[in-house]
Amino acid sequence: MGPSPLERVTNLLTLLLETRVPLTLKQISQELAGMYPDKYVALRGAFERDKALLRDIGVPIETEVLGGDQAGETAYLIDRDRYELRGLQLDDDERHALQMAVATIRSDTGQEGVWKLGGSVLPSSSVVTNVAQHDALPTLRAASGSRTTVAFRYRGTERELDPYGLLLREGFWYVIGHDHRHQEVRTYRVDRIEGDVTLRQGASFERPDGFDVRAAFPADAKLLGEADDGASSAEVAVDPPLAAVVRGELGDAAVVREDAAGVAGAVVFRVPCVNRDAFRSWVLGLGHHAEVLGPPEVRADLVAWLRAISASVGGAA
Amino acid sequence: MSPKGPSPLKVRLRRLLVILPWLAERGSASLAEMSERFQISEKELVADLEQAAMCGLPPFLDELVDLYIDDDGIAHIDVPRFFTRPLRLTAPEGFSLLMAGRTALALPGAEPDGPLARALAKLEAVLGSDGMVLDLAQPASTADLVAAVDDAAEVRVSYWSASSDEVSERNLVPRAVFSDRGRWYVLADDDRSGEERTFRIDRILSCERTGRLDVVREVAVPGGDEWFDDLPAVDTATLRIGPGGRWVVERFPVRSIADDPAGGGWQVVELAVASEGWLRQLLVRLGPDAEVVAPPAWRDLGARAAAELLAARYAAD
Repeated sequence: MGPSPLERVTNLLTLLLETRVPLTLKQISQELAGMYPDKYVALRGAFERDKALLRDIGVPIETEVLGGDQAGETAYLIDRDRYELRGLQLDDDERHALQMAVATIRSDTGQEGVWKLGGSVLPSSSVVTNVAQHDALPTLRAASGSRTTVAFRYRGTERELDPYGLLLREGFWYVIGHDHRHQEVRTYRVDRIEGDVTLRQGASFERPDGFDVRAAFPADAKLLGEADDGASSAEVAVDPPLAAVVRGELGDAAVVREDAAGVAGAVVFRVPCVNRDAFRSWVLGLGHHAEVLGPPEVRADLVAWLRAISASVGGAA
Repeated sequence: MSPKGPSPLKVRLRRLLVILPWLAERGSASLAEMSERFQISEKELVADLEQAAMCGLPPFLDELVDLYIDDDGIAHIDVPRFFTRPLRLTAPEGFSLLMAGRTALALPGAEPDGPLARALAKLEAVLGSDGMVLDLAQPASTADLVAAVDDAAEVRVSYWSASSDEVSERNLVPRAVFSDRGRWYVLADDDRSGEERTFRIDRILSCERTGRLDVVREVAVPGGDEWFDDLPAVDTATLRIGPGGRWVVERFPVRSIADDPAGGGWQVVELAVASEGWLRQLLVRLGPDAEVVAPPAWRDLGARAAAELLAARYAAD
C-alpha cells in the first residue's frame, strides 16, 4: 500500500522547507521516491493538488522559472522565514482576551488563528456579534495593511483602488480609498464587489496621515449625497412612544421642542435630509407616528410621494 | 462538536501543523487534553499523530516526528527541526482575529488600554495597520442588559413592537445580547408569552431590574443567516421589487428570490411578513419600487396605507 495523502503532503511540505535551492517537479518526485505516481500526467496532477492544498492553508510556496539546462522549467521552495509565525509573542492575559473576543464573533477561521497563537477552544459568550462575512474582506484588509493597490470589478467596471481602510456600519462593509481612475477618495460596498479582489503586486501607496474612515464616510445615511433643493435638515414631529426610540437614535441634541402641539411626550426633532430618499424612508418607517413639519419643500416632497402611491393600483405606477 | 468520520485532508493537515508545535513546546501532553483543546476525537488525534510519525524524507534518517503514546494516554513527542513553530496566520485568520478584537473593544465594558488592546497592537505590528473600523454603536440599555445576562437578573421593560404597533410592559430574564445587520437584540425569557423571545434593544423604552435573580442558562444565539423578530412571521407575500428597493432583500427575511422576466433589474421576491401593519409600512417606503403580486387582498395595501397616512397627517396640504 502506498503512502497516505496526509503523509505525502506532509513530506512535500518538509522537503520544500528543507531545500535551499528551488526544486523542479522531477527532483521532487525523485526525492520523495515512491510517494508520487510514476507517469508524468498523474504525477503533475497529484503534485498540483498537494500544492493547491498547501497554499490554501497559507503555506507560501515560491516559484522560479529556471534558465540554463532546465530552461523553462518551474522550480519550487518554501522560505522558512515567511512560513513560520514569528514576532508575535502574546502574554497569557492578552491571548485570553483575544480568545474571548473571537468567541463574540463565533468565527471558525478566528478559532484557527487562536490555535496558532497557543489558545484553546472558544468559550461561550454572553454577547455575540454576527458580522457579515465576504470572501473579499481578508484580501482587502491585507492589502490595506501592506499598502498594496487592489483591482476589482464593481457595477460592471474595473476599478483600481488604494484601500485606506474598511468600515463596518449598520451591518454592511465598505472599503474606502483612493480610486485611480477618478483620482479621488471613493467608497464601495464590499458585498457588491463582483468576483475576486486581486492585489497589484508591486503597486504600493501611502495612506494620508491621520486618515480616518469614519471621517471619510458620513455617519448618517440621511447625510449622504447632495440635496436637489438645498434643504439640509427638516423638522419632524414624533408621537410617543416612538419619540423615545428616535431620541435614542438621534440623541438629545436633535430635539427642537417637547410636548409638540400639546401632545404629552411628542417631540419635534431636527433630522438631516440631505439624502432625500434615505430621509423619506426613515420618516415613513415611523408610520403614522411621525409627520414632517417643514421646511415646506421637504413636506411637499413627502406628500407628493404619498399621493403617487395612493393613486396607483397595486402599488406601482 | 467533533466531526463524524474522518476529516478532509486539508482540515487534518492544518490541525496537525497547529498541534505539532504546541506539543513540541511541551514535550508531552495527555490525549484527553489535546482532544478537548483542539476539538478532535482521541481516535482521530492518535491516527493523525501516527501519520506524522511515519513522515520523513528518504532515506528516513532524520525522522520528522518521534512519537510515543504511553499506557496512561500521554503522548510524548520530539519534533526535531520542522514544525516547531506554527504556520503564519493566513489572511482570513488575520482578518478574523483583528476584526474580533476590534469588535470586542467596541462592546460595553471593554478596557481601551487592557490586555485586548495590547494584543491588537501586537497583531497589527505583524499584520500591518489597516484602518479597519467597526461601527457597533449600541442603544443605551445594551450595557445594562449585558450585565443582566451575566447575573441572570430579571428586568422590567416597556417595549414597542413594530409588528403590532403597541407598547407592552413585560418582565424579561435576558439570556444573551447580540447584534446582527447593525442592530442590537436581547434574547430573553419573556413572562408575557412564556417563551424565549428576541427583542430589539433600541425599542426598549425603559429597563429596570426587579431584584429577582434567576439561574444563568446558556442559549443558542441565532447566526447571521437566520432571522428573528419579536413576532414570528405569519404570512408570505410575493412582491415585485425594483432596483431602488434592493435593500429589502438584504434587510428582511426572504423565502425566495428570482429575477423578474420583464427585466430592468426587477426581482420577484417572496417575503416573510410578520403583520399586515409591517407590510403596509414597507410598501409606503418603497413606493414605485414595489408591487404586490400575491395575495390579491394586499395588491392595493400600499395605496390604502398611503391614502390613510395622507388623511391622518397631511390632510390640509
